[in-house]
Amino acid sequence: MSRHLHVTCAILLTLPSVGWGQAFVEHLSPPVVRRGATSRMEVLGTETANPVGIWTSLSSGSFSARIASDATPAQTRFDIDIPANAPLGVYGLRLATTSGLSNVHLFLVDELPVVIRDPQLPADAVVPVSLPASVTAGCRPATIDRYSITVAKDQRVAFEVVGNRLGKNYDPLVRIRNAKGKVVAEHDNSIGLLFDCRFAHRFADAGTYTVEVRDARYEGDPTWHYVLRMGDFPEARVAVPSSVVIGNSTTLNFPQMKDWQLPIILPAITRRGDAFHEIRQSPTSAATWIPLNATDLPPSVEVELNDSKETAQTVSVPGTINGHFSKPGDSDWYAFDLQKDQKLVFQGVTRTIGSAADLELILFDADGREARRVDDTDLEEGSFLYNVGKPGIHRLQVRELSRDGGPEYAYRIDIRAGGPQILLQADATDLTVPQGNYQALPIKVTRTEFNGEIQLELRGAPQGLRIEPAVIPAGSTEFVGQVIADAATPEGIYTLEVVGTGALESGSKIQTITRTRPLIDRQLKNVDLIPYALREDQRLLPPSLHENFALMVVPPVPFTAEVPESLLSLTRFQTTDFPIVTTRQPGFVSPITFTVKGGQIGDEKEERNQVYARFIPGTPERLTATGTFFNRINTQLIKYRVDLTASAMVGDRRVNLVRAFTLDVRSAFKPTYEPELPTVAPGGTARVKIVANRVPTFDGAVSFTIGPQFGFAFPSTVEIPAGQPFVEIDVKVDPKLNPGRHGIRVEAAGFVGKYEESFNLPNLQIEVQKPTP
Amino acid sequence: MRLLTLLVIVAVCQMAIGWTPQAFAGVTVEPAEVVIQGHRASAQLLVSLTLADNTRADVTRQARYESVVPNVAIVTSSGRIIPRGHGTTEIIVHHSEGEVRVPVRVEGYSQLDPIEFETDVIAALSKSGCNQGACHGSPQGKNGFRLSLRGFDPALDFVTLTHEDYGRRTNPNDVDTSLVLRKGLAEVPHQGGARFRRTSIEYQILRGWIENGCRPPVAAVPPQNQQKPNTVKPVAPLKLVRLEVLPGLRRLAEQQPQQQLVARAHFDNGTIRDVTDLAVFSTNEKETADVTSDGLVTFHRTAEVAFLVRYLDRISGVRLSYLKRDPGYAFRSPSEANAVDRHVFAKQRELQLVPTDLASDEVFVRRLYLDVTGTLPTAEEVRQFLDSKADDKRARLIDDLLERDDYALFWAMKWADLMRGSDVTISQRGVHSFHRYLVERFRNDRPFDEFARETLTSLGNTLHKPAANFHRIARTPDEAAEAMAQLFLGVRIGCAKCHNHPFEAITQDDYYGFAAYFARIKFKGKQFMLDDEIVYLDRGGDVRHPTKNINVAPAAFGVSAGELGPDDDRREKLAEWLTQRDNPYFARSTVNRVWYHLFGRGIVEPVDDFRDTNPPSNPELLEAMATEFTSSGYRLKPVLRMVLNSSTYQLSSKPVQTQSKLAADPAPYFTSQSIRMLGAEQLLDAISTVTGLSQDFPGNPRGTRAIELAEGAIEHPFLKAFSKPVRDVTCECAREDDPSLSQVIHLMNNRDIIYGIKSGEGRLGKWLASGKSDGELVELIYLSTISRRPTPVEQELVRKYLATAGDRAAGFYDLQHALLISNEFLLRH
Repeated sequence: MSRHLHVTCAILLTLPSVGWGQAFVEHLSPPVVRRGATSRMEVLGTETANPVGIWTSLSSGSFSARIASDATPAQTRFDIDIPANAPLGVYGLRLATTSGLSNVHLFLVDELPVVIRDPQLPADAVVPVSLPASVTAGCRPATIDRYSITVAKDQRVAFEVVGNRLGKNYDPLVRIRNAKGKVVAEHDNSIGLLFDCRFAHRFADAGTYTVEVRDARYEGDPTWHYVLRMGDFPEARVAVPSSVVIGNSTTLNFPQMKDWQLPIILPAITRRGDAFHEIRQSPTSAATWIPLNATDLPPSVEVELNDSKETAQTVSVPGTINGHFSKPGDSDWYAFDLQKDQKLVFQGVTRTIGSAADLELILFDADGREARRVDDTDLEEGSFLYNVGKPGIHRLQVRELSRDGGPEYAYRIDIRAGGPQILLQADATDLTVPQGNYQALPIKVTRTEFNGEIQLELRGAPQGLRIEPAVIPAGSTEFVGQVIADAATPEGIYTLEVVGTGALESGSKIQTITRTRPLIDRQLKNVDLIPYALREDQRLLPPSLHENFALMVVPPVPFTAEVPESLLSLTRFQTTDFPIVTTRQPGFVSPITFTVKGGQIGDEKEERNQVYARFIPGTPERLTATGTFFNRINTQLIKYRVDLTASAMVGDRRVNLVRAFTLDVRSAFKPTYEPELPTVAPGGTARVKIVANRVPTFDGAVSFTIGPQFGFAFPSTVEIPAGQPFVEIDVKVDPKLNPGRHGIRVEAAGFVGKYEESFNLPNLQIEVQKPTP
Repeated sequence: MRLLTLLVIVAVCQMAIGWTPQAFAGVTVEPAEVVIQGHRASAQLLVSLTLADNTRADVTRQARYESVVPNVAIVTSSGRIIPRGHGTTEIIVHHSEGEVRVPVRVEGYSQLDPIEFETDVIAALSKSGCNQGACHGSPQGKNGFRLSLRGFDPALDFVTLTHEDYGRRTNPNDVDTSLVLRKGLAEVPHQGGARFRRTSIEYQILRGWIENGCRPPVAAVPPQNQQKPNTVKPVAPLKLVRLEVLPGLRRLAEQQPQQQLVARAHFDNGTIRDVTDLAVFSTNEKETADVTSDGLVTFHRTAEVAFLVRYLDRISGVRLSYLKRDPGYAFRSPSEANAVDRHVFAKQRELQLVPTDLASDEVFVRRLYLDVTGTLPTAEEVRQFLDSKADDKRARLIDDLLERDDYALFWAMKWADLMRGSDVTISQRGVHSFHRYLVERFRNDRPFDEFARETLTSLGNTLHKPAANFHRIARTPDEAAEAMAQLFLGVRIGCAKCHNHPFEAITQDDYYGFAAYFARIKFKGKQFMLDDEIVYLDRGGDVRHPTKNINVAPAAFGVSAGELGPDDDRREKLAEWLTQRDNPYFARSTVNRVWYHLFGRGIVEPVDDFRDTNPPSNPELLEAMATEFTSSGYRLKPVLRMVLNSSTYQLSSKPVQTQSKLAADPAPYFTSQSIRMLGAEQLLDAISTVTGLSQDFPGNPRGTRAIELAEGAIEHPFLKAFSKPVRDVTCECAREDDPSLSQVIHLMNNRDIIYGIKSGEGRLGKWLASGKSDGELVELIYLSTISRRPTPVEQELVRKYLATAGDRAAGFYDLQHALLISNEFLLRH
C-alpha cells in the first residue's frame, strides 16, 4: 500500500469530522517558531493546495500567518509571526484550505535562536552549534545526529528534546561525549515529558563535546522532527504546588531543582484550568515551561514529617494538597475536619503535572476506619466521592502504588465540594461549516447528581453561528446538535468553546466546557487489518487543545444531504437499505459520495465482527441515494450513533457535510409476553400470548422451547407460524405450588435467511397467588 | 642384618600392594552408638582409620565384628547390625590398629510394627527402581503401570497399586500372587527384569504391606472415612526432615579406593533411622567411580566425585576424592599471583596435575581484548603492548580495558542474553531501554547485589524502571521463580514445578515457595495498547501447591519470609535473603559466571546448574572468588581484575602433554587456558575490524558493532549461523559451541568478507594505496588480524608468495583472506 493510500485510509478511519479531500497535515517543518520573530514554516501532507490560513490553539493575538509561496497538494509555506510576549510551549495548528480545516498538528513556540540542521548533510556530519540554541532536524531511522558544543569548565547547560511531545512516536535519546569519545552523560525519558527529555549537565572540564541525538530504538520517519534546546534554562519539569490561586502570590518549589524557588502571581485574567507557564532563573537566562493549574481551591503544600497517622499534616478542605514522595516508600498523611453530610470529591492529579506517581489514596473516617481506597489500577487518575457520615477528623493517606519516590514523584489532590456535576465530551474536534448549512456535533454527557436540561452556548462564535437544539434534554446522555451557520455568518477561522450550563433547583448553576481530544498523528495498526488508529501516547496533549474547537466558516455549498430516518434497524443475517435525500442547486452536477463511521462499523475488507456499508452515490438524476448496511455473523446487537459524511467537489474544493443518525443492530424478531406478568391461583391456568415483534423484512416462523419448570404444565415447544404475529399458550399451575413469582426459561429460534437466529428470552414470569382461605 | 631383611621385606610388601607408609592414629566407628527400632530395621557401621596426616581410610570391610549379646543383635562381616531381640548389646569392632565397642539398643522388636506406605513402601519401590523416570515413574508409566516419579504422590501410587488393573497388583488374600511381587521377582515376564530377591528388604516390605491388608497412606483416605470402625486405618506418616550421609566430605586415603556410605534418616519425632538398605545410591561419573546399591563406593582413578543418596523425598550428596599416587609426579607452575592461583594450583597439586606455562605477550594481548572488550586490539595497540618493557604492562592493560565502554557493552550483551527480552515481550522500546540499563550498570560497575535487588523488586513504569522488565519477561510467578533461580542462584528448579526434582534435593515446596514471592505482581498498560507497562503489587494473591492444593507461603529453599502484611512486598524478603553475605548461592553463582566467561568452563559446570551432584571442581577457589566479590561490595571489576591478573588466566592454551597417567582428568581443573571459537558478535566485529568495513544491521546506524546490538533476534545471516542467542532462554547454553557447515561456508565464501578485503574503501585497500612497503604491510596485516608479528619463517613464506603472485594487491588479498580463515584468527586461545 502506498504511503498516500495509507494517509487516505487514516483520514477515512480516524478523523471524526474530516472527510475525504480535506487537508491532512503529516508534519511541520520546522516544528518550531521563535517568538518575537518571523519564521518560515512548511506544512506538509496531502490536499494542502488552496490554503487560506492557519488555526492555532494559541490565544488570539499570539499568532499570525501569511501564505509565503504557491502551495502544492503536498506542501504549503507560511511566514509566521509570533509576538515576543507569546507563551512558550507546545501548541496546536491546523491548516485551513478552501475545503476546510485539516487535522491538528503540534509545534513549539521557543525563545532560543533556531538552528535548522541541513537535511542534505551526511548522516555522520557533526554540526557545530553556539549556545544557546534550538536545533531542529528530521528524525531519520538508524541515524545519530551529532552536534558539537564548546563549554567552559563547570558550565551548566540544560538540554531538552521536544519530539515525542510534537505528537509523534519519536523517542529521543541524548548522549554527550567528550573529545575522547567517552560518554559523559546519557538521558532517555524524563518523566512527565512522555518520551522526551529535559536535563542539565555541568561539564567538569572545558572543551568541545559532542551531543548525540537519536531515537532510542533507532527508529525514524520522514514526518518526525525534533527540537534540541540547549541553554541555561531550568531543568524543572514539575512544580509544587502545581495549582495556583489566581491573583494570589504563590512560591513554587521544584523537586528537580531543590535549591530554587520561584514566586508567582497569576493575573486575574488567567483562565481557570491547566496551562503552560514560563519559568526562568534570572531575567537574563533562558526559560522553559511547566504545567500549572489555575484554580480557586486554596493550596496546601506538604510539610515533612507527615509519614504516619500520628504526624498527619492538617490541611483545609476543600482545597488542593500538593505533595511529593521524597523517597521510595514515602507515605504522606493529611488530616482535615469534616462536617456531617458534607460531600467531597477527591481527585488525584499526577500525569497532567508531569509526575510519574501512581497515586493510592486511602481515606480513614473519624473512627479511624478505612472508608475509601482508590489504588488507581487503570490509567486514569484515581478519584472518589465521599459522603461524610460521622463528623470529625478524617485522615488521608497518600502513597505511590509502586512505593517509589524521588524528584519525579510529585502529586496533587484536588478536594472539591461534591454535588451536581456535568461533563461534556465531543467526538468532533473541528468544524467546517458552509454558510447557510450545518454540521452535526455529537456530544456525550456524563451526569453526577444532575438530571436536568443543559443549555448550550457557543463562545467565540461569529455572528450568525448557533447550535440547535441549544438544550440537551433532561436525562439525556447522548446528544447530537447542529452547528448552523447563517448565510450571513462571516467566513473565517475561529476558536470555539461549547459551554454547557445546568440550572439547579437551588437557583445556582453548574457549568462546563465541552472537551475534545483531537488526533495528532496516526499509527499503523496491522493486527485486525485496521490500518491506522489514534496513537495511544497522545494522552497528554497540550492543555490548549482540550477545550477548543477549531471552526471554519466557508462559503455556501450548492447541495445538501439528509438521512430522513433518525433510527435505522439492521437485523442480524440481513441487510438494511436506507435513503439519503440530497438536494442540488441548478447546475450542480458533481456526484455526491458517502461514508459512514461509528460504533462497530468497519471497512468491508476487514474480517471482523462488524458492520459495513455500501453506497450508491447521489447524482442529479438520483437525488435520493441509497446506502446499504451489511453485517457479519457475529455482529453485536447494540445501538450506536453513526456519522454519515456526504462529500462532493464544488469547484476546486471538497465539501463534506456530516449527518448523524442511530443504527440499531438487533435480531429479526424480539418476542415479548403479554401480559408481562400473568397472575394465576394455584391449580389455575394462565393464558400467555407470545408476540414475535418481527422486523418488516422478516416474516418467517419463530419457534420456542419452553421449560421444563417444576409445578407448571405447558407445551414444551410452540411456534408462531410464518406470517402470524403471535401464538398463545396455556400455563397450568399445580394446586400445591407455593405462591410467589416463578420464572420459566424460554428459548426462541427462527431461520433468518439461511441462518438460524437463536437466543434465550427473558424468563416468562408467572405470579402464583396465595390460595384463597 | 635382620633389621635390613625386615626393611627389605616391608619395602617389597609395600611395593607389592602399592601402599605408602603411613602412621595410624586410631580407629573410629560411626555412629558411636546405635538404636534400632523394630524387627525390620538394621544399622550400618562405618569404621575408619585415622592416619597420621589426618586423612581417614575406610576399613569397614576389613574390620572384624563381634556381638556381645547375639540374641539382641548380630552383625555381618560388612558391618551391618541386624536385630534379633529386644535389649542391649555391644558390637566389638576389631582392627589391627585398635578395638572399638559400640553400644546397641534394640527397641520394639516384638511389637506389631505396621508397614507404612509413605515411608516404607515408597522407599521400597524407589530402591527397586520401579518409580524412576525410565520405568513406571515416567509420565506415561510403562506397560500400563504408572507410578508417581520417585513416589512424590503416595496417594496416587496407593490407588494404582491397590485398585487399578482389577486389583491384580496387590492381593492380600493370596499375597504371593500379587503381580507387583511376581513382576519384581521376574516370576512372570517383566521388561525391567528382576528388581529384588525374596531375601531383599524391598521384597519383604512390599510383601509385608500386602499381607497386612495394604494399609493406605493418610492422603488416600477421605477424612470422614478415617474414623470409621472396621476399616484399615491409615497411619500418620513420620515426616522426614533430614537425610544424613556418612562420612560426609572425605578424601580417601592413598591406595584405599573404597568407601562405605551410610544413610541416616532424621524424622520429625526425633528418631534417627539407618536407611542404608533402603536408600538409593548413585553417581554421575560411573567411569571414574561407582557405588553399589548398599552404598559401597569404589574409585577407579584419581578423581573427585559426588555421590547422590536418595531416600523418600530427600536427597543428599557427598563428595569424595581419591588419589592414586604417582611417585614420579612433581608439581611445577608459574608463580602464584594471587588467591586464584593459590587455590587452582593447590587443587592441581592435590590431583597430581601440572599447569602449562604462561602465554606469550602476543597471545595474552589478543585474549585479553577479546575476553574483556569483545573486540580485537588494533595493530597499534598490539605493537604498543608488545614493545613495552614495563614489568606491569599486563596489569596496566587489564586496568585500561576494564574502564573502556566496550567492556560495558560486551558484558552487558552477555547479561542481556540471559535476561531475555524481545520486542514481543517488552516491546522494541523496552528492549533498547533494558539494554542501555545493563550497559550503564557495567559501565559504572554498579554493585551486583543492587542489580539483583532492582531486578527482583522493581515496580513502576518500565519506561522509567527498566529493571522491572524482568517481570514483563517472566510474567507469571512460576516463570519469575525459575528465571530468578537460574540467574541469581545458578539453580535450575524447573523440574520441581511438576514433581520433586528427580535427582536433586529440590522439591515442589521449594519451587512454589519461590513462586510465592512473585504471586502479587500485576501489570497495567498493555490493555491500553501501550508498549510500556506499569508493574505494581496487588494486596492479595497467592500461588497454589498443585499436589497439596494449599496456598504456599513464600520461602527460599525452606527459609521462610516470615510474617508479611498485605502491604509488604514479599520480593523484598527474597532480595534480602539472596543478597545476604552468607547466601550460599548468589555470590558463588555470579563469580562462577565470570569464571565461565574467562575460561569457557565454570568452576561449577554447567554454569547455571549448582546442585549437590554437580559440585564445584574447586570449592576453595569458588569461595575465594565469592569472598573477593562480596568484600568488594559485589562489584564485578575487582573479581575480574583478580582473575585476569592471575597466572591461571594467563596460562598458555597449549595443553600439558606430560600429565601423569595417574592424575585426575585435567579438564575441570584449568591446567591450561581454553581454546574456543569467538562468539558470533566477536567474530563478526573482528572481521569488520580487519576489513575496515562495518556491517549493516537492520534498524541500526551504520558503524554499529555486533556487540552493541540491543536486540537478540536481529536479522543477520552471519550472526544466526554463529548462534547469536535470540534471547528466549535464561541459559548460557543458548549460544551453541559446536561448529556447523553453515559457519564454514560463511567464512570461506562470504562475499562481504571478500569484498571487504578487496575494497578500496577497506583497510587493506587504503594501506595498499598509501605506499607502504611489503614488509610494513605484512606486519600490519599480522598485527591487526592475529595480534602478532609474523615469524621469520612466515615472513619468508609470504615474501615468496608475493613474488609469485604477480599482482601485488592480489597477493596481499590472499594473505589477508588466509589469515582471516585461519584457526589463529577464529579461535580465542
